[in-house]
Amino acid sequence: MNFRKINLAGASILFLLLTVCSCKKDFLDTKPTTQFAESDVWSDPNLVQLNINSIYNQNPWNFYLTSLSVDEARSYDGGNDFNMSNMLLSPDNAGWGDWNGKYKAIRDCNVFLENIDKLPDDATLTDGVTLKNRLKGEAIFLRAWYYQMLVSYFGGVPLVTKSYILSDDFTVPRNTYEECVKYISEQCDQAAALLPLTNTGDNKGRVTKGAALALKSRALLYAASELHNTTKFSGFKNPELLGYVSGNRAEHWQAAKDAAKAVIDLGVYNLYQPSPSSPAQATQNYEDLFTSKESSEDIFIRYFNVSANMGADFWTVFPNGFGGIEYNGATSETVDAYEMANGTTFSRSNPAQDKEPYKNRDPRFYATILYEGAKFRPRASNLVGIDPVGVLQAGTWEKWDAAAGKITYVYGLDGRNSAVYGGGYNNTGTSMLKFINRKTDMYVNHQDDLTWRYIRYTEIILNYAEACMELGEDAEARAYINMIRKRAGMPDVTESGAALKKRYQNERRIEMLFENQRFFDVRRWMIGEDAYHPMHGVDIVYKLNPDKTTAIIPTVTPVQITTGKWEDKAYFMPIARSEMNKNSKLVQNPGYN
Amino acid sequence: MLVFALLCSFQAQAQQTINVSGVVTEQATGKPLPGVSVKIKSSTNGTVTDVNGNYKITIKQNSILQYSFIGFESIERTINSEKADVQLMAKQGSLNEVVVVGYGTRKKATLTGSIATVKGSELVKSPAGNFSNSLAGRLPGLVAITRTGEPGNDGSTLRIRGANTLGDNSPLVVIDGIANRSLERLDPATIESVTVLKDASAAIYGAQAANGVILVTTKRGTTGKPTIQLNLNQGWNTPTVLPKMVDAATYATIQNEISTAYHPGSPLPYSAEDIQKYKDGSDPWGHPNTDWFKETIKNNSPQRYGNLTLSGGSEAVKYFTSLGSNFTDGMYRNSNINYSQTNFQSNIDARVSKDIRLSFDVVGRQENRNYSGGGANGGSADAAQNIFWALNRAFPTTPAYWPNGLPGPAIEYGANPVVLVTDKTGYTKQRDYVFQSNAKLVVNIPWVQGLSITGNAAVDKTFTTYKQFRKPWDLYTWDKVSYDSNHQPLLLASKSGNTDPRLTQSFNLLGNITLNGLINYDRTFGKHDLKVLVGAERISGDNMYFWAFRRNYTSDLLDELDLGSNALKDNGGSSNTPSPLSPNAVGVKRLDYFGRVSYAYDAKYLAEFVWRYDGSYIFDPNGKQFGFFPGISLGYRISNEKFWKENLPFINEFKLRGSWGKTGNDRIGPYQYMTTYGYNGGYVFNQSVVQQTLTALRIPNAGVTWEVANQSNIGFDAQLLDNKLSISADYFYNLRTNILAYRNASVPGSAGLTLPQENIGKVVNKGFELQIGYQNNAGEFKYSVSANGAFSKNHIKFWDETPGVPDYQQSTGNQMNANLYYQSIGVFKDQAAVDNYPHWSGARPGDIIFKDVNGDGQINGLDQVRSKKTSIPTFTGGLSINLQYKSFDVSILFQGAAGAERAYTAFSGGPGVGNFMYNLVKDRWTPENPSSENPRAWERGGAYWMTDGMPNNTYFVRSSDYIRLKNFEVGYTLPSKYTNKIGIQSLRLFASGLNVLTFTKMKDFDPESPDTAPGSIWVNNQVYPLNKTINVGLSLTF
Repeated sequence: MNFRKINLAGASILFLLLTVCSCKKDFLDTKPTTQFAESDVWSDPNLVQLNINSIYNQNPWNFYLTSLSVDEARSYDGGNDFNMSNMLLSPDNAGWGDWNGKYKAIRDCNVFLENIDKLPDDATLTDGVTLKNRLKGEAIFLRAWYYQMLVSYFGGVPLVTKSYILSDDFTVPRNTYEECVKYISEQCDQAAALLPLTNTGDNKGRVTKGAALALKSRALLYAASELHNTTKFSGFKNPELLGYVSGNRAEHWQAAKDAAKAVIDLGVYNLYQPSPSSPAQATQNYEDLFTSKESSEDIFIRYFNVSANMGADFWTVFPNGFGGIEYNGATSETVDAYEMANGTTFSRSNPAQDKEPYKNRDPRFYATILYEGAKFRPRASNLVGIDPVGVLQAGTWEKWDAAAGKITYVYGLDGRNSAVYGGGYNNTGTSMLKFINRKTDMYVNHQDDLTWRYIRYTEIILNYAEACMELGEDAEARAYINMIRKRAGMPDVTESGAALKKRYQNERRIEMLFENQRFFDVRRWMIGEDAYHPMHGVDIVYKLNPDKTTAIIPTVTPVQITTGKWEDKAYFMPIARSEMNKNSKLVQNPGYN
Repeated sequence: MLVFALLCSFQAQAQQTINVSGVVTEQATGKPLPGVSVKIKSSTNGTVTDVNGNYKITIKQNSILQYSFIGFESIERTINSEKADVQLMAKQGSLNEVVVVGYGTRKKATLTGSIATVKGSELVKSPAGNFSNSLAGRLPGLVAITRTGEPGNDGSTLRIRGANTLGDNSPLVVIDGIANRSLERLDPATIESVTVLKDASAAIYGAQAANGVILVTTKRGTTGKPTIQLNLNQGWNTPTVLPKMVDAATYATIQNEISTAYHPGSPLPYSAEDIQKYKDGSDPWGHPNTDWFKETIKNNSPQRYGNLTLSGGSEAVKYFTSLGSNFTDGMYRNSNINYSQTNFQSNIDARVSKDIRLSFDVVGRQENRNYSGGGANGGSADAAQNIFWALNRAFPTTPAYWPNGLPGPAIEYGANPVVLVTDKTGYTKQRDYVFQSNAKLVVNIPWVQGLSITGNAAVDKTFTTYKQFRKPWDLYTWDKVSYDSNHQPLLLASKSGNTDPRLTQSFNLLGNITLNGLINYDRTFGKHDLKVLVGAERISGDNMYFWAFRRNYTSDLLDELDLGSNALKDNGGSSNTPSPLSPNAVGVKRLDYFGRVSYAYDAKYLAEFVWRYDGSYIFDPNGKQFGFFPGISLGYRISNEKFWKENLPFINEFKLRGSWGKTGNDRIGPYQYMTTYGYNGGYVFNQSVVQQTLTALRIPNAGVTWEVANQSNIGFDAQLLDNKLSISADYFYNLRTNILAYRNASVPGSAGLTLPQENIGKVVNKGFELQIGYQNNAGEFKYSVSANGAFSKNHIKFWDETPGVPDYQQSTGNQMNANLYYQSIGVFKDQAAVDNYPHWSGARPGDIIFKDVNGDGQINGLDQVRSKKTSIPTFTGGLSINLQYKSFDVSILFQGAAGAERAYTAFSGGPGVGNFMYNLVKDRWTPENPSSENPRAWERGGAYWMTDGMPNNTYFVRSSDYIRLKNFEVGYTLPSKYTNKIGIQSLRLFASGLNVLTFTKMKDFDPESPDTAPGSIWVNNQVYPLNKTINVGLSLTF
């Protein structure tokens, strides 16, 4: 036997065993390769800033935030909020308000505020504030922002102001509505004290003092409104969760007025193009406001950047025949709410208005809603032959087939029977134009640039007007409402009292259409019945004239497209049954037990 | 070799010699026995039988030949004729078989664990394209469920003894001693055996063994002349079942009913004339009647499999090499969807010296997955999901193709399934290059008898390249009024899918290195038999991934990255993290020490102890990384006792076994003990400046540790009636503790926590297994029958339960993943019926009646009841029959499962959302048919009992019990007197089948088809269906 061979083999095995057994002690002590350790994050100003970016990023956004859950718009059959429209909302299907998502963002704010002081101090001032103060202010603002949304959906909610760890007791009762509003308001003040008046450079898009004060204005306006000062839910055993149970209502309105005035008095915001030279100019200005990168109205905004693949996806709202799926079509109710250009209300019983409903309307209409025959943008090359101009075609043409001796039908490119089948189209007979960048070619890219305005100055003007009006200061209210109307190219309102209130409410509805306002306005004004009922779209037909030619002007007839009704429980959203079960201290909203 | 042959012939001439040939067969089955040693007594000359049991040898007249084979009684024959066929009898049944166990082998007779095993020669009978599919019904306690038949993605879900945890239930797969390899793409011709460790015997694999271990052993060379074997197969696949949809006329009728119900007074969508035209097909342009499944799916699609092996060897070097290839075509018409692979394996054993053996194994494999461009619906890369989504959503009233042959319009998102399956949408090509190697050195330490040292070094690498080129495609629409100058309908072409050609290309490199060293001490002292194993192992793995994206190609003819536009290009990459191309890859590090001590006294009293001290990178370095996992098992061969032999002679063998062990399951995301922050998309500032966002990825759970499985098993093995009948039975009780689960049932949303998994669950899984086999022959008719059955059912002992949930909704006490359903108790006949019973707000006649379970007079979430069943069967079994008569052989495998239920899903309802399933609407409620037990046709969002195709109640729940003829094979071996003349040792022709017949109450979907998500209640109707395969082939041996 060759012992040298054995020794060789033995040595190699020994080596192998040594490799295995005598591994370095830290062989197993690996670290994740694509994640940062917690301790590194809070000491690095750059990483801290990226962390708060993630809280901005949780702020919900899309083109139809609540439009389809109120009377503003309807979508394709499955895309509507069926349960909301038919008052089938219950703890078993409670998704409205995104309770969990908001509390997730609030926790991130809490964690941020608990750790921000670990960041080394740096006295350098940017835009007049230190980095640490600015970041603190942003986190305090964002926490108040998410709470304001929760309170708008649910009434009083648990105010969680520290971050839980796994071993904590998680049960927590709802705070009263009054406590919540007070908290949000105070947090806004705190944030305003820390934040700069304006941001410059790459800080543009972060919140400012103005944003904090504007949020306060919104919160206090909502709080002063009917819904939170009503006896409607007197049978409910915890009315303090839904609104004020004591105090002076006028004081609430005064606080709302002061809050709005505080924003106005900052002097950094102006109405965009306040004095148009013509109705056409007003229309153009209004469209530009929502498609511009920046404007003098911007208080809290979110940018998009298409060249970095972070554009806004216009596909959902582009008309069917232009390559989109037409998700957000204005209802007939919405279209009819636009006044005539001369300030009178539109009426179907007026034969001229009924015949040509899209003629002589509020200039803003033409920059908000794409209606039959309205010019949009060039069609795709294979459709230019059918529609050389590029207008919305939701209608049907009756044509005379002389050979067969009967009527045939030609369907518009954007309608339900369109030869260009995109799928998902709505059946309102209209499509959305507001916010839409007409330059976007769906056949090249679904995305494009957008600046989304969570809060714009007009809202503050309207908030101020509403508070004044409720305080009986009609003249002041009219002056501010008419600022908006002037910018829109509309005649002044002159009414007072209840008539003024009606004009104001319609003004807010039109001006802020599709801006995530009406869903809440309808509730706080307690006009649920007005907004929830069977919804209508329009049927558009280019009829056959007696001489067998086809009419140039279509017949536009409202038709019911969805069912709908109202129940008072929908003033507040249900809390999910699972959440109720997990937290025994919670009280459900009225109508959901 | 040549010299040896020459020597032989020289001897033959010199002395009175004869050339003897014959076949060695197994007495019980008549099957030829390959590898039998045939030796001239008192000499070193000899040979071995080939794969068909044939041997040839040249001997002196009247020599004595010794025939010996492991596990069989050796015999001797004095030979004086040229033909000598011999039958060998198995030693005490199969108990002398050698069974592979962790880091070694054991004789079946002295096994103490619960271990099931199956030979490669059984598995090769299945024509399944994916090796994992051939395991179903073969091994008691192993549940193999095929979820989809899509070429390249058709692996089975494997479960040993059912489900034990809400976490990862997949067993550990060990191939040729190396853990964490995949068995799916193995070439069945290379498989020697598959063994399943079900109980404490798995504890030697420690923290990865709680779900059981599957050990696969590949073939190795045997001493003898080179044997070449060629296998060729040609098969045809068809789907086992496809959902039956209604035709255009029925669809139109139903749409009219819906319109009448929802929009009374408005004009009906379809006139009687329309319906008539849909029915009679008189107007193919305006009123088509499309069967989308038929238009898209072929009657059958081919698959091919071929394999060539060369094996043999001498005392010094033995070799087994294999070259194989297979191809499976997708089931679609005009499709570029298919899978193919080429694989190579070489196992070489060398005896370097008396005490040193060296083995060197290499596996190489190329896997080619080809799909279409992925296409519509947001461009998911999952081609089958897109295609079946579209098939379910398509309208029968829309043409697949216009009468002139051009493709019809899209359903939505540019999807027309007949086009989606083709290369018009582009292509997706994935290539996996798998390289596996192992070098093994065994040294017997000459100065200590029974002591040997083994070292293994295995390097596995997988390279994956992926290229997806997605092109816009043309679809044609007709406005129903325009005609061209030839009076033909004027079709409008439109680009669909992407707006422009787009290319995504990526690369992934996955590596795994396993090093281990074993010390074996194997010694018999008188009646004491002692085997000791001590070992150490270190495993490290890593991966590296990157991808790049370009779009706006000016032409779709060229598909290189360089040719795409610079605008909107994108790329990314990472390492040691899961990537789309290796979703399970992470920077694995494991360090383990393990061992086994087996002791037997007189081969009668048996005891074994296994252990593993397991270290894993997943857990906190501060004291949580290592864990100890022991297992103990005992056996008692009562039949070896004298009193047994005297009193119960007809029971040839009876062994009682018992075991207890503790194993772990560490298949969770790593680093859960620490808080880390990761990038989570971008956010735009200052008009266009993109900044990253950084999010806390988890709340830390510092104490996170293994799931622990306490596995107890008791069983027996028996052989009766001269070993013709064998019975094996086991009862097991598994208690899984420390189950990692999210505490989301009790932590309210207001806490805002992204919960980590916590070791909170406790689940008991218990059941039994039985295997009975009988083999005998009647003259030339030989037969064997083997049946196995396994029952396992789990129940949750402790779980994070939502406080305040009524008893009938709690998951504790029920099976894991049992779902909540409303209880369907009929259909509201009319408005009076609605008014008379508590109902969902908005209920109308024809709606499903939900039972008011808690009797509170209203129907809401509290009326849901936790089901007693889940989608995992509790009983699985197989019946295998082998028959042989002269040259004919037949084998049949029935396989079945029971105790599971599935809920149907169905798109349909309302305009815009697809067709209705015939079986769900055939006898539906209508005002004219109010007594129907079936609900009305529904609109997409308009029924409380069906939201967007997803039902929530028992009306749609079906038993998915089934029995199927899983496999059959009929073979004919040509008489050797013919084949030998042309130099062929053996030629066998055969026909086989897979999933040939299925008996089940489930209509429209295969009972094995997957859920929409793990643990969800719904059958996923957006997957490629299972295949039924018919196959013919031949096996040729030289």
